[in-house]
Amino acid sequence: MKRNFRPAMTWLHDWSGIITGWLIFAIALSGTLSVFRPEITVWMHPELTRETADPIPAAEAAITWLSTHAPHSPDWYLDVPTPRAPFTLALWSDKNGYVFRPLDPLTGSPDALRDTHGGEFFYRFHFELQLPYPWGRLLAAIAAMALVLTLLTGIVAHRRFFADFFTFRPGKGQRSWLDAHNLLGVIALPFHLMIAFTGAVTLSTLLLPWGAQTLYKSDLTTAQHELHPAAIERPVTGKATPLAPIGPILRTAEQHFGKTGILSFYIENPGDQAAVITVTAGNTDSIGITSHVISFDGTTGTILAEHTEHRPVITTFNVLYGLHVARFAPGITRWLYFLSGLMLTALTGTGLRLWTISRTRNTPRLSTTLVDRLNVGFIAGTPTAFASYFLANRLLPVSLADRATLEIRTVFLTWAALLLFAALRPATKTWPELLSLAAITCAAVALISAPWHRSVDATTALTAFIFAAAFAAAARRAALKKRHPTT
Amino acid sequence: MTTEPFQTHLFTQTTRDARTSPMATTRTDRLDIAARALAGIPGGYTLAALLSVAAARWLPLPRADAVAAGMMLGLVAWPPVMMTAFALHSLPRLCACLTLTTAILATLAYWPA
Repeated sequence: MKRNFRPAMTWLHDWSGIITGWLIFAIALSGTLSVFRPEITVWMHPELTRETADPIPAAEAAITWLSTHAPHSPDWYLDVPTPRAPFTLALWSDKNGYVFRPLDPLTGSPDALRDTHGGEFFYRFHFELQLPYPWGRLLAAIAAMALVLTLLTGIVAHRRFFADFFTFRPGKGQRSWLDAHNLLGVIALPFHLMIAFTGAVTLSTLLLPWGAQTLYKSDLTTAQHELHPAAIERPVTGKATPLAPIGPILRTAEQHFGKTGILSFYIENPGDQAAVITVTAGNTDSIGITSHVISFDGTTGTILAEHTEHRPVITTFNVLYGLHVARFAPGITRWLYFLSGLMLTALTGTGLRLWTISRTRNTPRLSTTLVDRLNVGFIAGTPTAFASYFLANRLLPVSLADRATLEIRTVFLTWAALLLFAALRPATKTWPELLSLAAITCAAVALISAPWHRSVDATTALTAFIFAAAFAAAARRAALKKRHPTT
Repeated sequence: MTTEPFQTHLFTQTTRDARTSPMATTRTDRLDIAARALAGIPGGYTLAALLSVAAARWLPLPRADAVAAGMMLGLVAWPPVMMTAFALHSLPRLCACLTLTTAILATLAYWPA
Protein backbone atom coordinates (compact mmCIF):
# COMPACT_ATOMS: atom_id res chain seq x y z
CA MET A 1 0.00 0.00 0.00
CA LYS A 2 1.29 3.35 -1.00
CA ARG A 3 1.09 5.87 1.75
CA ASN A 4 2.76 9.19 2.23
CA PHE A 5 2.68 11.31 5.32
CA ARG A 6 1.15 14.43 3.84
CA PRO A 7 -1.69 12.81 1.87
CA ALA A 8 -2.49 10.71 4.93
CA MET A 9 -2.67 13.82 7.10
CA THR A 10 -4.71 15.64 4.45
CA TRP A 11 -7.18 12.78 4.44
CA LEU A 12 -7.35 12.78 8.25
CA HIS A 13 -7.78 16.60 8.26
CA ASP A 14 -10.68 16.37 5.80
CA TRP A 15 -12.50 13.61 7.62
CA SER A 16 -11.99 14.66 11.23
CA GLY A 17 -12.99 18.14 10.02
CA ILE A 18 -16.22 17.12 8.33
CA ILE A 19 -17.26 14.73 11.11
CA THR A 20 -16.80 17.23 13.94
CA GLY A 21 -17.06 20.50 11.96
CA TRP A 22 -20.70 21.37 12.64
CA LEU A 23 -20.25 20.72 16.35
CA ILE A 24 -17.02 22.74 16.45
CA PHE A 25 -18.68 25.57 14.49
CA ALA A 26 -21.48 25.86 17.09
CA ILE A 27 -19.06 25.48 20.02
CA ALA A 28 -16.67 28.09 18.58
CA LEU A 29 -19.44 30.62 17.91
CA SER A 30 -21.07 30.23 21.33
CA GLY A 31 -17.63 30.34 22.96
CA THR A 32 -16.82 33.53 21.08
CA LEU A 33 -20.03 35.11 22.39
CA SER A 34 -19.20 33.84 25.90
CA VAL A 35 -16.16 36.15 25.88
CA PHE A 36 -18.74 38.85 26.59
CA ARG A 37 -20.89 36.75 28.91
CA PRO A 38 -21.49 39.45 31.59
CA GLU A 39 -22.01 42.15 28.96
CA ILE A 40 -24.64 40.03 27.19
CA THR A 41 -26.37 39.44 30.54
CA VAL A 42 -26.43 43.21 31.11
CA TRP A 43 -27.81 43.76 27.58
CA MET A 44 -30.54 41.22 28.33
CA HIS A 45 -31.56 43.16 31.43
CA PRO A 46 -32.60 46.61 30.17
CA GLU A 47 -33.87 47.16 33.74
CA LEU A 48 -30.25 47.42 34.93
CA THR A 49 -29.69 51.11 34.37
CA ARG A 50 -26.93 51.72 36.88
CA GLU A 51 -23.53 50.91 35.38
CA THR A 52 -21.74 50.29 38.68
CA ALA A 53 -22.52 48.44 41.89
CA ASP A 54 -20.69 48.25 45.20
CA PRO A 55 -19.79 44.55 45.73
CA ILE A 56 -20.07 44.25 49.51
CA PRO A 57 -23.42 46.03 50.08
CA ALA A 58 -24.78 44.11 47.07
CA ALA A 59 -23.63 40.82 48.64
CA GLU A 60 -25.24 41.81 51.95
CA ALA A 61 -28.54 42.56 50.20
CA ALA A 62 -28.33 39.26 48.30
CA ILE A 63 -27.75 37.25 51.50
CA THR A 64 -30.67 38.98 53.23
CA TRP A 65 -32.94 38.11 50.32
CA LEU A 66 -31.71 34.50 50.04
CA SER A 67 -32.11 33.99 53.82
CA THR A 68 -35.84 34.59 53.53
CA HIS A 69 -36.46 33.20 50.03
CA ALA A 70 -34.11 30.21 49.75
CA PRO A 71 -33.35 29.16 53.35
CA HIS A 72 -33.57 25.43 52.56
CA SER A 73 -31.13 25.40 49.66
CA PRO A 74 -28.09 23.30 50.69
CA ASP A 75 -25.81 25.96 49.21
CA TRP A 76 -25.79 29.43 47.67
CA TYR A 77 -23.27 30.45 45.02
CA LEU A 78 -22.76 34.15 44.39
CA ASP A 79 -20.63 36.10 41.91
CA VAL A 80 -20.16 39.58 43.31
CA PRO A 81 -20.78 42.63 41.09
CA THR A 82 -17.88 43.77 38.95
CA PRO A 83 -17.49 46.82 36.71
CA ARG A 84 -18.46 44.51 33.79
CA ALA A 85 -21.46 42.98 35.59
CA PRO A 86 -23.13 45.41 38.00
CA PHE A 87 -25.33 42.80 39.70
CA THR A 88 -24.97 39.77 41.97
CA LEU A 89 -25.26 36.52 40.07
CA ALA A 90 -26.80 33.89 42.33
CA LEU A 91 -27.29 30.15 42.03
CA TRP A 92 -29.30 28.18 44.56
CA SER A 93 -31.61 25.20 44.50
CA ASP A 94 -35.28 24.81 45.28
CA LYS A 95 -37.51 21.76 45.06
CA ASN A 96 -37.41 21.87 41.24
CA GLY A 97 -33.62 21.96 40.93
CA TYR A 98 -31.12 24.75 40.36
CA VAL A 99 -32.27 28.36 40.14
CA PHE A 100 -29.98 30.84 38.49
CA ARG A 101 -30.84 34.56 38.68
CA PRO A 102 -29.11 37.92 38.74
CA LEU A 103 -30.03 39.81 41.91
CA ASP A 104 -30.56 43.55 42.07
CA PRO A 105 -27.48 45.09 43.78
CA LEU A 106 -29.63 47.38 45.96
CA THR A 107 -32.56 45.18 46.98
CA GLY A 108 -30.92 41.75 46.63
CA SER A 109 -34.08 40.56 44.90
CA PRO A 110 -34.44 39.14 41.37
CA ASP A 111 -38.05 40.33 41.07
CA ALA A 112 -37.38 43.60 39.26
CA LEU A 113 -35.16 41.84 36.69
CA ARG A 114 -36.68 39.90 33.81
CA ASP A 115 -36.28 36.13 33.88
CA THR A 116 -33.48 35.31 31.43
CA HIS A 117 -30.27 33.28 31.39
CA GLY A 118 -28.53 36.11 29.55
CA GLY A 119 -24.96 35.44 28.47
CA GLU A 120 -24.95 32.34 30.67
CA PHE A 121 -26.85 30.49 27.94
CA PHE A 122 -23.97 30.78 25.43
CA TYR A 123 -21.44 29.96 28.14
CA ARG A 124 -23.31 26.80 29.17
CA PHE A 125 -24.10 25.77 25.61
CA HIS A 126 -20.41 26.16 24.72
CA PHE A 127 -19.44 23.14 26.82
CA GLU A 128 -22.72 21.43 27.78
CA LEU A 129 -24.52 21.68 24.43
CA GLN A 130 -27.89 21.74 26.21
CA LEU A 131 -27.44 18.02 26.91
CA PRO A 132 -27.72 16.28 30.30
CA TYR A 133 -24.59 15.84 32.42
CA PRO A 134 -22.11 14.40 31.59
CA TRP A 135 -22.91 13.78 27.90
CA GLY A 136 -22.73 17.37 26.70
CA ARG A 137 -19.43 17.95 28.45
CA LEU A 138 -17.98 14.68 27.17
CA LEU A 139 -19.01 15.54 23.63
CA ALA A 140 -17.46 19.01 24.00
CA ALA A 141 -14.25 17.46 25.37
CA ILE A 142 -14.05 15.07 22.42
CA ALA A 143 -14.75 17.97 20.04
CA ALA A 144 -11.86 19.88 21.63
CA MET A 145 -9.49 16.93 21.10
CA ALA A 146 -10.76 16.53 17.54
CA LEU A 147 -10.07 20.22 16.94
CA VAL A 148 -6.48 19.80 18.18
CA LEU A 149 -6.13 16.88 15.76
CA THR A 150 -7.72 18.77 12.86
CA LEU A 151 -5.46 21.78 13.46
CA LEU A 152 -2.29 19.67 13.68
CA THR A 153 -3.15 17.68 10.54
CA GLY A 154 -4.21 20.95 8.90
CA ILE A 155 -0.71 22.36 9.40
CA VAL A 156 0.65 19.36 7.48
CA ALA A 157 -2.11 19.43 4.85
CA HIS A 158 -1.79 23.14 4.11
CA ARG A 159 1.96 23.18 4.76
CA ARG A 160 2.55 26.01 2.34
CA PHE A 161 0.15 28.36 4.12
CA PHE A 162 2.92 30.44 5.64
CA ALA A 163 4.35 31.05 2.17
CA ASP A 164 0.83 31.62 0.80
CA PHE A 165 -0.02 34.00 3.62
CA PHE A 166 -0.10 37.06 1.38
CA THR A 167 -2.04 35.24 -1.31
CA PHE A 168 -5.73 35.88 -1.56
CA ARG A 169 -7.48 35.34 -4.86
CA PRO A 170 -11.09 36.48 -4.46
CA GLY A 171 -13.82 35.53 -6.90
CA LYS A 172 -12.10 32.31 -7.96
CA GLY A 173 -14.46 29.81 -6.36
CA GLN A 174 -12.72 26.97 -4.58
CA ARG A 175 -9.30 28.66 -4.85
CA SER A 176 -10.67 31.67 -2.91
CA TRP A 177 -12.23 29.49 -0.24
CA LEU A 178 -8.91 27.69 0.16
CA ASP A 179 -7.03 31.00 0.38
CA ALA A 180 -9.50 32.25 2.99
CA HIS A 181 -9.23 28.97 4.92
CA ASN A 182 -5.42 29.22 4.90
CA LEU A 183 -5.40 32.89 5.83
CA LEU A 184 -7.81 32.37 8.75
CA GLY A 185 -5.87 29.32 9.83
CA VAL A 186 -2.44 30.87 9.85
CA ILE A 187 -3.34 34.31 11.17
CA ALA A 188 -4.49 33.03 14.55
CA LEU A 189 -2.91 29.56 14.55
CA PRO A 190 -1.32 29.93 18.02
CA PHE A 191 -4.68 31.09 19.37
CA HIS A 192 -6.56 28.23 17.69
CA LEU A 193 -4.16 25.60 19.06
CA MET A 194 -4.18 27.21 22.50
CA ILE A 195 -7.96 27.50 22.73
CA ALA A 196 -8.52 23.93 21.48
CA PHE A 197 -6.03 22.37 23.88
CA THR A 198 -6.99 24.49 26.90
CA GLY A 199 -10.63 23.73 26.12
CA ALA A 200 -9.80 20.05 26.53
CA VAL A 201 -7.91 20.93 29.75
CA THR A 202 -11.04 22.54 31.27
CA LEU A 203 -12.87 19.23 30.79
CA SER A 204 -9.91 16.94 31.48
CA THR A 205 -11.17 15.73 34.87
CA LEU A 206 -14.16 14.30 33.03
CA LEU A 207 -12.19 12.96 30.07
CA LEU A 208 -9.32 11.39 32.06
CA PRO A 209 -10.47 10.75 35.63
CA TRP A 210 -8.39 7.56 35.87
CA GLY A 211 -5.27 9.04 37.48
CA ALA A 212 -7.27 10.53 40.33
CA GLN A 213 -9.29 7.34 40.70
CA THR A 214 -6.14 5.23 40.91
CA LEU A 215 -4.29 7.45 43.37
CA TYR A 216 -7.22 8.31 45.60
CA LYS A 217 -9.15 5.04 45.19
CA SER A 218 -12.73 6.07 45.89
CA ASP A 219 -11.80 8.68 48.49
CA LEU A 220 -13.18 11.72 46.66
CA THR A 221 -13.21 13.86 49.81
CA THR A 222 -9.44 13.57 50.17
CA ALA A 223 -8.96 14.22 46.44
CA GLN A 224 -11.10 17.31 46.66
CA HIS A 225 -9.30 18.47 49.80
CA GLU A 226 -5.83 18.02 48.28
CA LEU A 227 -6.84 19.80 45.11
CA HIS A 228 -8.61 22.66 46.94
CA PRO A 229 -6.97 22.77 50.39
CA ALA A 230 -9.05 25.76 51.50
CA ALA A 231 -12.41 24.17 50.66
CA ILE A 232 -13.84 22.89 53.94
CA GLU A 233 -16.68 20.39 53.95
CA ARG A 234 -18.70 19.94 57.13
CA PRO A 235 -21.75 17.72 57.54
CA VAL A 236 -25.06 19.38 58.38
CA THR A 237 -25.74 19.36 62.14
CA GLY A 238 -29.45 20.18 62.01
CA LYS A 239 -28.97 22.90 64.63
CA ALA A 240 -30.32 26.17 63.23
CA THR A 241 -27.80 28.96 63.77
CA PRO A 242 -27.92 32.38 62.08
CA LEU A 243 -25.17 33.30 59.61
CA ALA A 244 -22.47 35.71 60.72
CA PRO A 245 -22.78 39.11 58.98
CA ILE A 246 -21.34 38.70 55.47
CA GLY A 247 -19.98 42.29 55.19
CA PRO A 248 -17.08 41.97 57.66
CA ILE A 249 -16.19 38.51 56.29
CA LEU A 250 -15.92 39.82 52.73
CA ARG A 251 -13.94 42.84 53.95
CA THR A 252 -11.45 40.53 55.66
CA ALA A 253 -11.17 38.47 52.47
CA GLU A 254 -10.68 41.64 50.45
CA GLN A 255 -7.76 42.66 52.72
CA HIS A 256 -6.14 39.25 52.22
CA PHE A 257 -6.64 39.33 48.44
CA GLY A 258 -5.25 42.79 47.80
CA LYS A 259 -6.10 44.61 44.62
CA THR A 260 -7.52 41.61 42.75
CA GLY A 261 -10.64 41.80 44.93
CA ILE A 262 -13.32 39.15 45.29
CA LEU A 263 -14.59 37.10 42.36
CA SER A 264 -17.21 34.95 44.06
CA PHE A 265 -18.17 33.18 47.24
CA TYR A 266 -20.36 30.29 48.23
CA ILE A 267 -22.10 29.34 51.42
CA GLU A 268 -22.64 25.71 52.33
CA ASN A 269 -25.35 24.74 54.82
CA PRO A 270 -26.62 28.30 55.27
CA GLY A 271 -28.57 28.71 58.55
CA ASP A 272 -26.99 25.59 60.04
CA GLN A 273 -24.32 25.43 62.72
CA ALA A 274 -22.03 23.82 60.11
CA ALA A 275 -22.26 26.73 57.68
CA VAL A 276 -19.04 27.47 55.72
CA ILE A 277 -18.40 30.56 53.62
CA THR A 278 -15.72 30.12 50.96
CA VAL A 279 -14.42 33.22 49.17
CA THR A 280 -12.40 33.11 45.93
CA ALA A 281 -10.15 35.97 44.81
CA GLY A 282 -10.58 37.61 41.43
CA ASN A 283 -7.99 36.91 38.77
CA THR A 284 -7.56 40.24 37.11
CA ASP A 285 -3.82 40.30 37.85
CA SER A 286 -2.93 36.71 36.97
CA ILE A 287 -3.85 34.44 34.09
CA GLY A 288 -4.50 31.40 36.26
CA ILE A 289 -7.85 30.79 37.92
CA THR A 290 -8.57 30.34 41.65
CA SER A 291 -5.14 31.27 42.93
CA HIS A 292 -6.30 32.44 46.37
CA VAL A 293 -9.17 31.00 48.44
CA ILE A 294 -10.24 31.58 52.05
CA SER A 295 -12.97 29.74 53.93
CA PHE A 296 -14.73 31.11 57.00
CA ASP A 297 -16.87 29.55 59.68
CA GLY A 298 -20.35 30.65 58.64
CA THR A 299 -21.63 31.29 62.16
CA THR A 300 -18.60 32.88 63.87
CA GLY A 301 -16.84 34.44 60.88
CA THR A 302 -13.42 33.06 61.87
CA ILE A 303 -11.04 31.86 59.19
CA LEU A 304 -11.03 28.07 58.84
CA ALA A 305 -8.48 27.74 56.04
CA GLU A 306 -6.62 29.85 53.52
CA HIS A 307 -4.77 28.70 50.43
CA THR A 308 -2.66 30.56 47.89
CA GLU A 309 -1.78 28.37 44.91
CA HIS A 310 1.98 27.92 44.41
CA ARG A 311 2.17 24.22 43.47
CA PRO A 312 3.90 24.16 40.07
CA VAL A 313 1.75 21.63 38.19
CA ILE A 314 -1.58 22.77 39.63
CA THR A 315 -0.55 26.34 38.77
CA THR A 316 0.26 25.27 35.21
CA PHE A 317 -3.16 23.60 35.02
CA ASN A 318 -4.85 26.73 36.39
CA VAL A 319 -2.98 28.95 33.93
CA LEU A 320 -4.08 26.76 31.00
CA TYR A 321 -7.63 26.85 32.34
CA GLY A 322 -7.38 30.61 32.85
CA LEU A 323 -6.10 31.13 29.30
CA HIS A 324 -9.26 29.47 28.05
CA VAL A 325 -11.83 31.31 30.17
CA ALA A 326 -9.93 34.62 29.83
CA ARG A 327 -11.24 36.14 33.05
CA PHE A 328 -7.87 37.85 33.41
CA ALA A 329 -8.25 39.66 30.10
CA PRO A 330 -8.53 43.43 30.05
CA GLY A 331 -10.70 45.12 27.38
CA ILE A 332 -8.41 44.95 24.36
CA THR A 333 -7.32 41.36 25.05
CA ARG A 334 -10.97 40.39 25.36
CA TRP A 335 -11.73 41.87 21.95
CA LEU A 336 -8.74 39.92 20.55
CA TYR A 337 -10.24 36.74 22.03
CA PHE A 338 -13.53 37.66 20.38
CA LEU A 339 -11.91 38.30 16.99
CA SER A 340 -9.77 35.16 17.17
CA GLY A 341 -12.86 33.17 18.15
CA LEU A 342 -14.67 34.53 15.12
CA MET A 343 -11.70 33.56 12.97
CA LEU A 344 -11.85 30.03 14.36
CA THR A 345 -15.58 29.92 13.59
CA ALA A 346 -14.91 31.17 10.06
CA LEU A 347 -11.98 28.74 9.68
CA THR A 348 -14.37 25.90 10.51
CA GLY A 349 -17.01 27.32 8.17
CA THR A 350 -14.62 27.65 5.22
CA GLY A 351 -13.30 24.15 5.92
CA LEU A 352 -16.81 22.71 5.83
CA ARG A 353 -17.47 24.58 2.60
CA LEU A 354 -14.23 23.35 0.99
CA TRP A 355 -15.08 19.76 1.84
CA THR A 356 -18.24 19.91 -0.24
CA ILE A 357 -16.96 22.19 -3.02
CA SER A 358 -14.29 19.65 -3.92
CA ARG A 359 -16.89 16.86 -3.92
CA THR A 360 -19.91 18.35 -5.67
CA ARG A 361 -18.30 19.23 -9.02
CA ASN A 362 -19.82 16.53 -11.19
CA THR A 363 -22.66 14.33 -10.03
CA PRO A 364 -22.41 14.32 -6.27
CA ARG A 365 -23.61 11.47 -4.13
CA LEU A 366 -26.78 11.88 -2.09
CA SER A 367 -24.78 12.07 1.15
CA THR A 368 -22.52 14.79 -0.24
CA THR A 369 -25.54 16.80 -1.38
CA LEU A 370 -27.07 16.49 2.07
CA VAL A 371 -23.83 17.62 3.74
CA ASP A 372 -23.67 20.52 1.28
CA ARG A 373 -27.23 21.56 2.15
CA LEU A 374 -26.83 21.15 5.91
CA ASN A 375 -23.64 23.20 5.71
CA VAL A 376 -25.87 26.14 4.77
CA GLY A 377 -28.17 25.37 7.68
CA PHE A 378 -25.25 25.32 10.12
CA ILE A 379 -23.03 28.09 8.75
CA ALA A 380 -25.80 30.60 8.00
CA GLY A 381 -28.42 29.18 10.38
CA THR A 382 -26.42 29.11 13.64
CA PRO A 383 -25.78 32.89 13.70
CA THR A 384 -29.49 33.48 12.98
CA ALA A 385 -30.54 31.09 15.75
CA PHE A 386 -28.17 32.75 18.23
CA ALA A 387 -29.34 36.24 17.17
CA SER A 388 -32.97 35.14 17.65
CA TYR A 389 -32.10 34.63 21.34
CA PHE A 390 -31.38 38.35 21.62
CA LEU A 391 -34.64 39.19 19.85
CA ALA A 392 -36.68 36.82 22.03
CA ASN A 393 -35.15 38.47 25.09
CA ARG A 394 -36.53 41.86 24.14
CA LEU A 395 -39.78 40.74 22.46
CA LEU A 396 -41.22 38.13 24.84
CA PRO A 397 -43.47 39.77 27.46
CA VAL A 398 -41.55 40.48 30.68
CA SER A 399 -44.20 38.88 32.90
CA LEU A 400 -44.39 35.66 30.88
CA ALA A 401 -44.11 32.52 33.00
CA ASP A 402 -40.92 30.51 32.39
CA ARG A 403 -39.67 33.06 29.88
CA ALA A 404 -35.98 32.14 30.33
CA THR A 405 -36.81 28.64 29.05
CA LEU A 406 -38.86 30.08 26.19
CA GLU A 407 -35.94 32.29 25.12
CA ILE A 408 -33.71 29.23 24.87
CA ARG A 409 -36.44 27.26 23.12
CA THR A 410 -36.58 30.05 20.52
CA VAL A 411 -32.93 29.37 19.65
CA PHE A 412 -33.44 25.65 19.11
CA LEU A 413 -36.74 26.01 17.25
CA THR A 414 -35.19 28.60 14.92
CA TRP A 415 -32.16 26.40 14.43
CA ALA A 416 -34.23 23.28 13.71
CA ALA A 417 -36.49 25.15 11.30
CA LEU A 418 -33.51 26.57 9.38
CA LEU A 419 -31.76 23.19 9.19
CA LEU A 420 -34.95 21.59 7.88
CA PHE A 421 -35.41 24.39 5.37
CA ALA A 422 -31.80 24.01 4.23
CA ALA A 423 -32.09 20.23 3.95
CA LEU A 424 -35.10 20.47 1.63
CA ARG A 425 -33.84 23.03 -0.87
CA PRO A 426 -30.78 23.20 -3.17
CA ALA A 427 -27.79 24.84 -1.49
CA THR A 428 -27.40 27.38 -4.30
CA LYS A 429 -30.85 28.75 -3.37
CA THR A 430 -30.54 28.57 0.42
CA TRP A 431 -27.11 30.27 0.62
CA PRO A 432 -28.43 33.72 -0.40
CA GLU A 433 -31.73 33.14 1.43
CA LEU A 434 -30.30 32.12 4.78
CA LEU A 435 -27.42 34.60 4.64
CA SER A 436 -29.96 37.39 4.01
CA LEU A 437 -32.01 36.13 6.93
CA ALA A 438 -28.88 36.22 9.13
CA ALA A 439 -28.24 39.80 7.99
CA ILE A 440 -31.83 40.82 8.77
CA THR A 441 -31.79 39.14 12.20
CA CYS A 442 -28.50 40.82 13.13
CA ALA A 443 -29.78 44.19 11.92
CA ALA A 444 -32.88 43.63 14.05
CA VAL A 445 -30.66 43.00 17.09
CA ALA A 446 -28.90 46.31 16.38
CA LEU A 447 -32.24 48.15 16.15
CA ILE A 448 -33.83 46.49 19.14
CA SER A 449 -30.89 47.62 21.31
CA ALA A 450 -32.45 51.11 21.11
CA PRO A 451 -32.36 53.46 22.94
CA TRP A 452 -28.61 53.10 22.90
CA HIS A 453 -28.08 54.83 26.27
CA ARG A 454 -26.05 52.18 28.04
CA SER A 455 -22.60 51.42 26.66
CA VAL A 456 -23.43 47.68 26.27
CA ASP A 457 -26.46 48.57 24.15
CA ALA A 458 -24.42 50.80 21.88
CA THR A 459 -21.55 48.29 21.56
CA THR A 460 -23.94 45.39 20.93
CA ALA A 461 -25.79 47.41 18.30
CA LEU A 462 -22.55 48.32 16.54
CA THR A 463 -21.25 44.73 16.61
CA ALA A 464 -24.59 43.35 15.41
CA PHE A 465 -24.63 45.94 12.65
CA ILE A 466 -21.14 44.88 11.47
CA PHE A 467 -22.33 41.25 11.44
CA ALA A 468 -25.44 42.30 9.47
CA ALA A 469 -23.28 44.10 6.90
CA ALA A 470 -20.95 41.10 6.56
CA PHE A 471 -23.86 38.68 6.11
CA ALA A 472 -25.50 41.02 3.61
CA ALA A 473 -22.28 41.17 1.57
CA ALA A 474 -21.98 37.38 1.70
CA ALA A 475 -25.65 37.00 0.67
CA ARG A 476 -25.08 39.31 -2.28
CA ARG A 477 -22.05 37.30 -3.44
CA ALA A 478 -24.01 34.06 -3.03
CA ALA A 479 -26.89 35.49 -5.06
CA LEU A 480 -24.52 36.52 -7.87
CA LYS A 481 -22.95 33.09 -7.82
CA LYS A 482 -26.40 31.51 -8.09
CA ARG A 483 -26.86 33.30 -11.41
CA HIS A 484 -23.33 32.57 -12.64
CA PRO A 485 -22.40 29.31 -10.98
CA THR A 486 -18.97 29.14 -12.59
CA THR A 487 -17.53 32.21 -10.87
CA MET B 1 -16.26 11.63 -7.61
CA THR B 2 -13.36 13.79 -8.57
CA THR B 3 -10.45 15.13 -6.63
CA GLU B 4 -8.64 18.38 -7.04
CA PRO B 5 -4.97 18.43 -7.97
CA PHE B 6 -3.98 19.65 -4.51
CA GLN B 7 -6.08 17.06 -2.80
CA THR B 8 -4.48 13.69 -3.12
CA HIS B 9 -6.30 10.54 -2.26
CA LEU B 10 -4.24 8.04 -0.41
CA PHE B 11 -6.05 4.85 0.31
CA THR B 12 -5.40 3.73 -3.19
CA GLN B 13 -3.53 0.85 -4.67
CA THR B 14 -0.85 1.99 -7.06
CA THR B 15 -2.88 0.53 -9.90
CA ARG B 16 -5.99 2.59 -9.21
CA ASP B 17 -6.26 6.30 -9.80
CA ALA B 18 -8.85 7.95 -7.60
CA ARG B 19 -9.36 10.64 -10.21
CA THR B 20 -10.68 8.20 -12.76
CA SER B 21 -12.41 5.81 -10.41
CA PRO B 22 -16.10 6.42 -9.74
CA MET B 23 -15.73 5.00 -6.23
CA ALA B 24 -13.50 6.81 -3.79
CA THR B 25 -12.76 3.81 -1.67
CA THR B 26 -12.66 0.07 -2.19
CA ARG B 27 -13.68 -2.54 0.32
CA THR B 28 -10.06 -3.08 1.36
CA ASP B 29 -9.68 0.65 1.90
CA ARG B 30 -12.76 0.74 4.10
CA LEU B 31 -11.43 -2.07 6.28
CA ASP B 32 -8.07 -0.32 6.45
CA ILE B 33 -9.74 2.95 7.51
CA ALA B 34 -11.89 1.18 10.10
CA ALA B 35 -8.83 -0.55 11.59
CA ARG B 36 -6.90 2.71 11.76
CA ALA B 37 -9.88 4.57 13.25
CA LEU B 38 -10.12 1.87 15.93
CA ALA B 39 -6.39 2.17 16.61
CA GLY B 40 -6.59 5.97 16.76
CA ILE B 41 -9.83 6.64 18.65
CA PRO B 42 -10.45 3.91 21.26
CA GLY B 43 -6.81 2.78 21.03
CA GLY B 44 -5.51 6.34 21.35
CA TYR B 45 -7.83 7.03 24.25
CA THR B 46 -6.73 3.88 26.08
CA LEU B 47 -3.11 4.87 25.59
CA ALA B 48 -3.79 8.41 26.84
CA ALA B 49 -5.71 7.09 29.86
CA LEU B 50 -2.96 4.63 30.77
CA LEU B 51 -0.31 7.31 30.32
CA SER B 52 -2.24 9.62 32.65
CA VAL B 53 -2.40 6.89 35.31
CA ALA B 54 1.25 5.84 34.86
CA ALA B 55 2.43 9.45 35.08
CA ALA B 56 0.23 10.11 38.12
CA ARG B 57 1.74 7.06 39.85
CA TRP B 58 5.40 7.48 38.99
CA LEU B 59 6.09 11.21 38.72
CA PRO B 60 7.97 12.32 41.85
CA LEU B 61 5.34 14.89 42.77
CA PRO B 62 2.68 15.33 45.46
CA ARG B 63 -0.50 13.44 44.58
CA ALA B 64 -2.61 16.38 43.38
CA ASP B 65 0.21 17.67 41.15
CA ALA B 66 0.92 14.20 39.79
CA VAL B 67 -2.74 13.67 38.88
CA ALA B 68 -2.90 17.04 37.10
CA ALA B 69 0.37 16.32 35.25
CA GLY B 70 -0.96 12.93 34.17
CA MET B 71 -4.18 14.40 32.79
CA MET B 72 -2.30 17.03 30.79
CA LEU B 73 0.17 14.44 29.43
CA GLY B 74 -2.75 12.23 28.42
CA LEU B 75 -4.36 15.08 26.50
CA VAL B 76 -1.07 15.88 24.75
CA ALA B 77 -0.57 12.22 23.78
CA TRP B 78 -3.91 11.45 22.14
CA PRO B 79 -3.72 13.53 18.91
CA PRO B 80 -0.22 12.29 17.93
CA VAL B 81 -1.36 8.68 18.45
CA MET B 82 -4.30 9.39 16.16
CA MET B 83 -1.95 10.88 13.57
CA THR B 84 0.42 7.91 13.83
CA ALA B 85 -2.51 5.54 13.34
CA PHE B 86 -3.06 7.06 9.92
CA ALA B 87 0.56 7.79 9.03
CA LEU B 88 2.26 4.42 9.47
CA HIS B 89 2.54 2.42 6.25
CA SER B 90 2.09 -1.02 7.65
CA LEU B 91 -1.06 -1.89 9.54
CA PRO B 92 0.50 -4.93 11.32
CA ARG B 93 3.43 -2.77 12.42
CA LEU B 94 0.98 -0.12 13.70
CA CYS B 95 -0.92 -2.72 15.71
CA ALA B 96 2.33 -4.11 17.10
CA CYS B 97 3.61 -0.66 18.14
CA LEU B 98 0.29 0.30 19.74
CA THR B 99 -0.06 -3.00 21.59
CA LEU B 100 3.51 -2.84 22.90
CA THR B 101 3.17 0.78 24.09
CA THR B 102 -0.20 0.06 25.66
CA ALA B 103 1.21 -3.02 27.43
CA ILE B 104 4.18 -1.06 28.82
CA LEU B 105 1.94 1.80 30.00
CA ALA B 106 -0.60 -0.63 31.49
CA THR B 107 2.20 -2.30 33.44
CA LEU B 108 3.44 1.04 34.72
CA ALA B 109 -0.10 2.12 35.54
CA TYR B 110 -1.33 -0.93 37.43
CA TRP B 111 1.65 -3.06 38.48
CA PRO B 112 2.62 -3.55 41.24
CA ALA B 113 -0.96 -3.15 42.40
